[in-house]
Amino acid sequence: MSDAVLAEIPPPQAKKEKPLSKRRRREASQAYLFLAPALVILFTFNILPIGYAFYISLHRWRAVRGSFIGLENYLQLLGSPLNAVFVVAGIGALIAAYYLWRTALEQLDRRRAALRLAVAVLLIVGGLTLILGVDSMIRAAAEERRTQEYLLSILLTVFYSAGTVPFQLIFSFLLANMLFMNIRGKSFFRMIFFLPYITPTVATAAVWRAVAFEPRRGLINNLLMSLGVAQGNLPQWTFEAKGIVVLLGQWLGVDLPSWVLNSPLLSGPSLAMIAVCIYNIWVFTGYNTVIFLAGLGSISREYYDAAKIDGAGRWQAMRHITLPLVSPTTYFITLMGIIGTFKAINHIYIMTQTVGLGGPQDTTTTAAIFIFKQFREGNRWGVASAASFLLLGIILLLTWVQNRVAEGRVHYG
Amino acid sequence: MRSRSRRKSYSLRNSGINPSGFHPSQIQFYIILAPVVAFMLVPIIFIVSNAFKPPEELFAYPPRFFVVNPTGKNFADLFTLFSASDVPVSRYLFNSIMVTVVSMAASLIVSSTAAFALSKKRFKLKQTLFAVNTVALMFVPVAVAIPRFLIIARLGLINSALVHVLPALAMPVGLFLLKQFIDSIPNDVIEAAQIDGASDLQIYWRIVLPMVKPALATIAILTFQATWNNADTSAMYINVEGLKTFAFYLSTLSSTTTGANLVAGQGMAAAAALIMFVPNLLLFIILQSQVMSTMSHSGLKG
Repeated sequence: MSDAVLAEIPPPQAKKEKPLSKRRRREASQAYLFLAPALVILFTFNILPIGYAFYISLHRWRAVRGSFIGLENYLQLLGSPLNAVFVVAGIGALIAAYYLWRTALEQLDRRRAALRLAVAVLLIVGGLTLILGVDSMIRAAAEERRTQEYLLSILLTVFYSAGTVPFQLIFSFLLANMLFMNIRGKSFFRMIFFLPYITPTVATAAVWRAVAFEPRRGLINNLLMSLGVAQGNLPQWTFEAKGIVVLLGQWLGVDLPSWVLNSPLLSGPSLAMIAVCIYNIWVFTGYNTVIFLAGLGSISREYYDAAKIDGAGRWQAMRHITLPLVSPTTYFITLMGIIGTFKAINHIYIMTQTVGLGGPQDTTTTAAIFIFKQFREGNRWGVASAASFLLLGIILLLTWVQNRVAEGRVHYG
Repeated sequence: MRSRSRRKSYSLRNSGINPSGFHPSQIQFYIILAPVVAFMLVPIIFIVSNAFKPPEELFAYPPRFFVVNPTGKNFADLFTLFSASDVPVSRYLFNSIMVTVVSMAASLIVSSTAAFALSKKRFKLKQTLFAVNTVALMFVPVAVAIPRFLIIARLGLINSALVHVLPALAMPVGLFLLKQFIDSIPNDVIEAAQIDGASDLQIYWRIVLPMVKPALATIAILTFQATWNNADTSAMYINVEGLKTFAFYLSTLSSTTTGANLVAGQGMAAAAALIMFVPNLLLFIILQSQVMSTMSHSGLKG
């Protein structure tokens, strides 16, 4: 978001600074006076802790400071450096594939386009294989428990992002467009959609757990039973540690090979994780709808009128006017959504209380929960800080990648 | 009056898509929207109705949406029973109200003064400071939980009422939003006031603040949510029962799954959840229009 938002802010005065006049100096000192309270607090509680966290991460630190151990905490979390190399190579291949794919679609020459598409597909397969290779390594590293747990927690965080952000985006975009069509009671709907966001997490997450996802008498299972989808074997929701792919296999009566069953990646997020995702979608869809509504409202009607005169249909107007012009909002929501899933603790905490934090069988232990557990339950502050820094690195990397992707695609109309 | 003119302007703007007001063609949208509304509302209906349910309805199978024999017993229990350490619930509630009110007032002042300086004053570190704020916006709270804990311990803020307020004032989002808003105030207005002999404080108080009311309302809501719903601070930094907040108390109620008071505990948790929810709702209804206008105005365009 930073770059996109910063784009709106006027650039710093380009003129060469003259020697400060007396008036200028007075203005600066007044400015710092106005800033002082905010700066003191921001530095004490936000900036200083970041530096401190790095210091802690270089030590053996279990509630009290131990010896300086350099990067050992980081190595303990990542395991063999080869893992990291493979993951980075895999992600690199996927990014390259993405660029090739895009240029391929713009190619006019058919054979060249086909060639590029083929290479892109190869790169996707190769990249996935590299990342999957790490997946098997996650399992192989069983003797190094912490490595396994941390890498797994990052995979689960990715599941969590992938299981929430795209759905939030699609639902909220559709809802916003529907509401935008000047239907009666628009502000009523807007209000209702905003309610989940303003209702305290403590209350809503507990209700979802106890009323909706309750395995024996919960609303969702009741609904499934009355629809006749599930009879004897009701889904256990927040109690279910099995992956969704495994469960679907069971339900359809398909025998899955053991390399699927044993792979944390291929067996998919657990049903408990999916329950958490559904909760997250419930909370944020309405909020995003309201933001999308604001974005839609800022598009000038003249574009649509012009398009209509040129004979464009509704779909074409959507594709060539709405989507590009609403892209800054889309970008903002995506970025905030992803960062949000990386930060999330509270609702996972509450929804998994009955099966132990991050349960069942650690299948909802996202990176944030992992750090929380290392900190609170294990008192391993050094490890937790190192894990925080790695997570921070991932978020910054993601933000950077998104900025790069957005550069060509986000239009500030 | 207002709604009429609004509808008229929409009908002009939307002339190509939909006629003004209700039209049979809109029914299709209502058919789609109705289940969505239900999906959004059902859990909230439960929060409201559960608070008034007697135990047998609370544990009924299957769960009932609406309460049949409403009772105020859950609330009575909540306020007459004492928590494990002999602190009355009203004490938690009082703490929460105090903390929330003080935080809201302080954070409005702290972020608006800073935003005013960042937006309208010229000084060397301006861009750097704003960049630092933007980076702070992206940090994951859990990533700094440990060092923050150590710093708070070193400052002697453990078990102090201040620990509820001070960290909540560092609100990068608030500063960010407000700066965007103040940027849109023309410099001419401020210069004119300066020529008339207004001091900085007067400009800030008489000109800037009244012009950024929507952003202030939004920050009020954000701070409210951050403090009123905050159970972590009490869990992490406070060991004295009498200084903990209502949100924390609620989180202990709903996590009590063992013990003899399971039934009473659930009823009390439901009542407490409603008490948590109502101020959120009221504040949002009061400030709604302001918040919505912030959303369409703020950095979302960029």
